[in-house]
Amino acid sequence: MAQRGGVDLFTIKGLKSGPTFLFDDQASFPAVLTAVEEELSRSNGFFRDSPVILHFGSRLLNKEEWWNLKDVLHREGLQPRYAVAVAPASRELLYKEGLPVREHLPLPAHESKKIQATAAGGSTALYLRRGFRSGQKEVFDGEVVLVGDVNQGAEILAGGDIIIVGTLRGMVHAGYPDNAEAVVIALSLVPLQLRIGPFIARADEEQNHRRPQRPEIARIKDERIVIEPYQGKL
Amino acid sequence: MSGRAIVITSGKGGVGKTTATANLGLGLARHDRKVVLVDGDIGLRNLDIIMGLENRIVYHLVDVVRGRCQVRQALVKDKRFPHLALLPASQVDQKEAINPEQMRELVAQLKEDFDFVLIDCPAGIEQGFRNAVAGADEAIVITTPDVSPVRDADRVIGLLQNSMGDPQLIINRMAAEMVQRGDMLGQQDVLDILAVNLLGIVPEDDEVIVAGNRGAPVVLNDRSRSGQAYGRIVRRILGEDVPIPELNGYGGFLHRLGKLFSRR
Repeated sequence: MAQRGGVDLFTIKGLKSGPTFLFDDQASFPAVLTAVEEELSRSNGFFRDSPVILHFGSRLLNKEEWWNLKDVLHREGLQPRYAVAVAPASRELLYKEGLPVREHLPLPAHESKKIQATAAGGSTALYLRRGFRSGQKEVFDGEVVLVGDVNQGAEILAGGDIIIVGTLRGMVHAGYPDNAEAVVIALSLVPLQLRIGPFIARADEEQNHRRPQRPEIARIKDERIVIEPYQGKL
Repeated sequence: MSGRAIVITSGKGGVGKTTATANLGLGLARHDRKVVLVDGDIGLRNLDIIMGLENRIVYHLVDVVRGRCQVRQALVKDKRFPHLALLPASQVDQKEAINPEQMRELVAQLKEDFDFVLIDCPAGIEQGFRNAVAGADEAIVITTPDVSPVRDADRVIGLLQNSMGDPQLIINRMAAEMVQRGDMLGQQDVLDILAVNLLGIVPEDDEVIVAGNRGAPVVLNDRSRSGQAYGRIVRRILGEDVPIPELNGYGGFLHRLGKLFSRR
């Protein structure tokens, strides 16, 4: 295992939340990258196709470094599930690159409840006063409130809830990547596919002419996405 | 004089951009406007055929841009209206033969001599699209009432809104009977999605194909339904308030969405 003064440059840990790649955040990035390549070639494709968590610690990652790492991971057939980064700039970079990010690894259940409560109190939301057409995309690590329509071919990924004051026809992913508490509310909820946390729902191809006349809410109930009329409260 | 430069675009191919460009051009010329049609589809030249002018081409757009001839040498005068001209595309060059800046200059030059510069845009959203859009002040987006052209029109409208104001919309090949049967999107379905101003609806009409092959666009035929529709669209472009005959409202297919089923 590649070391720097007794510290591992790259470690793979099998945590409860999934296989986690820990990158040393003090060493130079090329050195870390070399260690990653060595370690992965030793593992003989063991991690191929498995969703892994990337832990960058407090490293300030730049775009080029991320692209180089992404290349290596891609070559080894690895699918990053999300990244953990303490530095806000690194989180922003990774999030813009389409990778979900967290500030720390998920805590055990009894502690995570507490964290969520504070998060709800001081949560951030993105307010968008425009529609989204085919080919347009927004990724935001928080709640998204959008006044306008989201058309087929448009995508919105949010770490929290997604509220659409308009018609939802495109693809939205609330609670990205794995927050099953998130909800989607729309004045007219008619997407072909909808994602909440780890769940995916698709439209029933048998049913035609669905034209809901009132706002609806989609959420997870009993391990599946359900849609109900929105009654003015969650 | 400073004319209006309007690009006719769609994203999807085969929805009637070139046919619309020819009909709008002839229609505007019938109202005694000085019009030039610019074929922006370099490499796949078609507008000359629809206009019935293919045997009169000497120079083309790429020749002008490259300085191989003057603009007026390349303009092909229409055989019906002396104040209507065509600037043909090159059939032997690629889209990359010109760039947006050259196109802007060319269109600016044409606007000095014509009331209307209509630019026929190629399909797609790549270099050819960027060239065609570059010099335009306004855009007309054409779609048919089908699911995939509407989605591509939506994409194009999104791109246009970055560079100019909201485009206007023409819905082409509307078949009222199919809409009533729920086999096609209706006008209202399309407008709900695209949310832009409707300039007009052209009904499905076999005569359009015959006219295109003959090089005599339908707008010249006052008895054809599609020709009348183009006539109304032309008057709307000129600022007249002409009602759009209500062909239909909602159709079918779009909302093949139904209840969502989930799976892990």
